[in-house]
Amino acid sequence: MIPSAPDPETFAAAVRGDDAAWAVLHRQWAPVVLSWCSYLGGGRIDADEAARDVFFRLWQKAERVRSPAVFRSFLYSVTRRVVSEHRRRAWGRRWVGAPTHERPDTRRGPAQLTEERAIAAQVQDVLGSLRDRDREVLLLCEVMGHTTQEAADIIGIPPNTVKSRLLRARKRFAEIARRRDLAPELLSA
Amino acid sequence: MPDDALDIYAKINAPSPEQAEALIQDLDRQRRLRAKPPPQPWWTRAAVPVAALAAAAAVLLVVLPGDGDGDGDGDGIRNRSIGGGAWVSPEQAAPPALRLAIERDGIVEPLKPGKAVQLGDRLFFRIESQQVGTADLWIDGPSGREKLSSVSFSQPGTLDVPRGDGLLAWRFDARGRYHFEVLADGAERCVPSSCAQRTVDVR
Repeated sequence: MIPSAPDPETFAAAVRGDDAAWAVLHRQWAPVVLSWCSYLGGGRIDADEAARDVFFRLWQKAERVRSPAVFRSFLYSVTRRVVSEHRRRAWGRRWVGAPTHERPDTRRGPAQLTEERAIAAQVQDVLGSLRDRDREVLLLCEVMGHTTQEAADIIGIPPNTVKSRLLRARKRFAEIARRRDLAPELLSA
Repeated sequence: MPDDALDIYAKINAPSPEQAEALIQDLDRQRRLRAKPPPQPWWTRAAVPVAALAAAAAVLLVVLPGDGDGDGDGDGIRNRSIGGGAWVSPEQAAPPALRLAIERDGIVEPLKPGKAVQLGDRLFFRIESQQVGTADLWIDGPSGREKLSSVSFSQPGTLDVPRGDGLLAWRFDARGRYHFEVLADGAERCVPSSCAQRTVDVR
């Protein structure tokens, strides 16, 4: 569950430069930012590195956050921008042979893991063919499990706009997935 | 709606708790490193150059009297870089080497000495060691001095400095002069014959 806003006193202390307050914010929000970076980046960027960049910008610009109530949407907008930059760099990195950012996973067997990774890569391709605004709501609501209201708060748009984008994104995703024959056994609708 | 496919996507890309914990620790460390040091009283600011001057004078007094005619016993070789008066073992005579690569706009290339570095550039590190043991990578920059990482050499060779299951990348966020040092086996200061140094100016 993503916290809706930081504690006002902690946030104020952090803006003043208090390291203990920053440690609290890191513990509360770093997993959130890491999760955003992982899903928005879709395995093509180094989510750790992107999350560090997000916090680096937050350290620089925290005083611009007018109140703790808008902190989450501010953080998300920074994350979105950083992930976008990292995706562009990742595109360039393919030409210089830099290492990929796949992580070893010992919890699943190699065969299952290979199959799941292949499906995830297909999903990533389909997501990549959606419009940015549609992909965003699909990821927030369907992958990260946010409610429509939460997604609206995070992105900073009305809930009804989220609903209409989500509807369009689902439809478009299903269409493209079928056309590309994405794991047909998984396409139940 | 292919919910199952999205579930698999979510599972594959989900960050692990260990990954989040490592990030939190790293953010705390980076934040402390980047925090501005508290203002010092003027007398301590004055004391530092005076102490440095005194230390330099002491070093000169110790090094200059050496006549350089050492009577080596055959096991050591002359190390001319520290004044000609000292003998070092063959192992010490092969210091580690530090190579840097820089990433800008998605392009990674070796960082040649004197090449301009800009804010936002990322630096990768490769250490070559002829000795078995540990090599520590230190940074001395505008925000202070700190150990960045350690690399263990089970045999002589070349290793990229890792972080987690990737590579350590240092991003420059402040202009200034940065010294990167590789020190062997827990040393905290550079001894010329056993450490490697690179200086990077960020504009």
